Amino acid sequence: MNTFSRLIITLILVIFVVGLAALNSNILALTIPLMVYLFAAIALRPEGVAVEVTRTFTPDRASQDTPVTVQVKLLNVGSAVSELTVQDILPQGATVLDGESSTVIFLAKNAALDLTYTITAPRGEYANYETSMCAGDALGLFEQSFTHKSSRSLVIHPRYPKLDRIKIRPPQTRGFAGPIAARQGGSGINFWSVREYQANDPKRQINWRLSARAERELYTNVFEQERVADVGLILDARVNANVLTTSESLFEHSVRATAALAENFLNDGNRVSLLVYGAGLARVFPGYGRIQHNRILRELSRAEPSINYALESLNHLPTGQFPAKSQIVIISPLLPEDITMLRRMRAHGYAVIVVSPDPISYEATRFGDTTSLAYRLASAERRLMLRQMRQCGVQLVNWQVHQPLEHTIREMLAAQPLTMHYGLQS
Amino acid sequence: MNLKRLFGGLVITVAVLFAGIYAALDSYLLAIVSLGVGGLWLTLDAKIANYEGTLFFLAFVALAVIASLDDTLKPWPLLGLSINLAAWDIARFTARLANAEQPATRAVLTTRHLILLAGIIILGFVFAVLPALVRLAIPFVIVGGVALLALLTLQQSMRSLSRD
Repeated sequence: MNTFSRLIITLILVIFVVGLAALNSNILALTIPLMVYLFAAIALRPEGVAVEVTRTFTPDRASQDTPVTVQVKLLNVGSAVSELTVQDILPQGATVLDGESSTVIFLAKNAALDLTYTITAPRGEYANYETSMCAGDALGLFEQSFTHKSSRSLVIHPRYPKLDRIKIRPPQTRGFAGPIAARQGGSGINFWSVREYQANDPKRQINWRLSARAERELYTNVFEQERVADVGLILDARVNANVLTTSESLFEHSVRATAALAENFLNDGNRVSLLVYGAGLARVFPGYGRIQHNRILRELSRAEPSINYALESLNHLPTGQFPAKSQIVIISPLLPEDITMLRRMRAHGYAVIVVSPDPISYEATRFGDTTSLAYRLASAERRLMLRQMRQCGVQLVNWQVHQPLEHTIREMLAAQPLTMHYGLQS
Repeated sequence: MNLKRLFGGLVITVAVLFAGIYAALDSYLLAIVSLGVGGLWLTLDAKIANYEGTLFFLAFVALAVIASLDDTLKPWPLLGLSINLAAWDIARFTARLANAEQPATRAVLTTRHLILLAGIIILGFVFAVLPALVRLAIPFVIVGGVALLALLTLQQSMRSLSRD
């Protein structure tokens, strides 16, 4: 029953009482059309409504701003429904590009309905996609509402740029061949050292010039081994480190950078893991290849900036979870107190790269305030903080987010020699 | 069929009908009120997307009740009420139909609904007019008893529906 059916009933009663009070049959007769209307609605009201809903997404994983086609199939396995209002509840921020996400239809027994529409949605994992249905009689007096929750989830990955190969030299590499110089002699491309010729050494590796100077010995060139490495990506999702506005967020840029870096390191054959440091410690354990890339993208889809007072500073970063002396890449706008943790990581032998989306220039660009004293002071403070970080051997990319990430990384990492990694070790 | 036009036609008919009834009864103020209510309903329907059409429906019901007090114009208030009921139903149906964007879906639903509505309104009107045509000498106590029984049945059915 809804408001209108209650209104009709009340009206019938009121008119009836007025008719009786006035002893007027004409007034009593006025209740008859209303009664017929009400009884017709009762006779046509939905009973035993059972609708099966199947939902498909094409593709079921897409990047931000990529159109996704949603197909909702409804099958009426119960009795016929005079008016079925179907509304697919869209994810927050989603825009319908084509088709319709809601309809009103007469659904006969065993009849099916196809609802197809195309949307674009912001980054996120939409697990509880709902279809709201309201079955009613043809006169709109009785209705029955129910909701169907989809078991399939829609994952919208962040959109990220393609990066050129990033050269890293962590102190320790893994046993498999890859692109990273391992500082060990063996087979490779770059010259490493020479040693005395041993049986079965290929003749083309003999260093003829050195051997000619020696009396009877032959010498063989040894090349530097190239291997894959462990790379740990840490995405800073602390609210206090990010700039959040109603329409945009610096965090989105951090997420995009993380996705781009993950793809880059995985394409080089490295073993990559991810840690999202925010409300908790969301982890993707180390792995290789495309599947690992999808795992990381899925975790990044879910990542949201959040507050956890226990994780306000990076001091609780579980660095022990990353393999010793591996490469760590932190994507964070950075806070002054984070220097302590970065120093500690360097002292533990990790090679650290920090990609830092610049919150000062981000806010200044947003508000068009690049000349004020406040901006200049904040910039100076940040420059000082970044210099301190560089001094402790951290490779730093200060990324002004309105500039392309690939250019910034290429320029900034090229300007900082890789040997800086070992500053604290030597 | 264009629902807007049909709705407009029904509202104008109701307003003119009640204005005519009250003019015949020399109640010119109520005749003007009838036209005013009809005009306001049409104006709001044309200009505002979500308005409370039920208020206008109730206003016409009240006018029908007042008009029924006079015995000389027997079937006309009943006809006015029936048309008013149809207009109110179409207004609500149009609002519900806002979710159906496909013209084919709209057309199917509209045709189905209008056929059903016409049947119900005509049936209601005929059932209401019948007692006026047939003259039976039944004591008022019996009429009251039958009406009370009908009301109790209605109440029970409503309770059972609420439980569902």
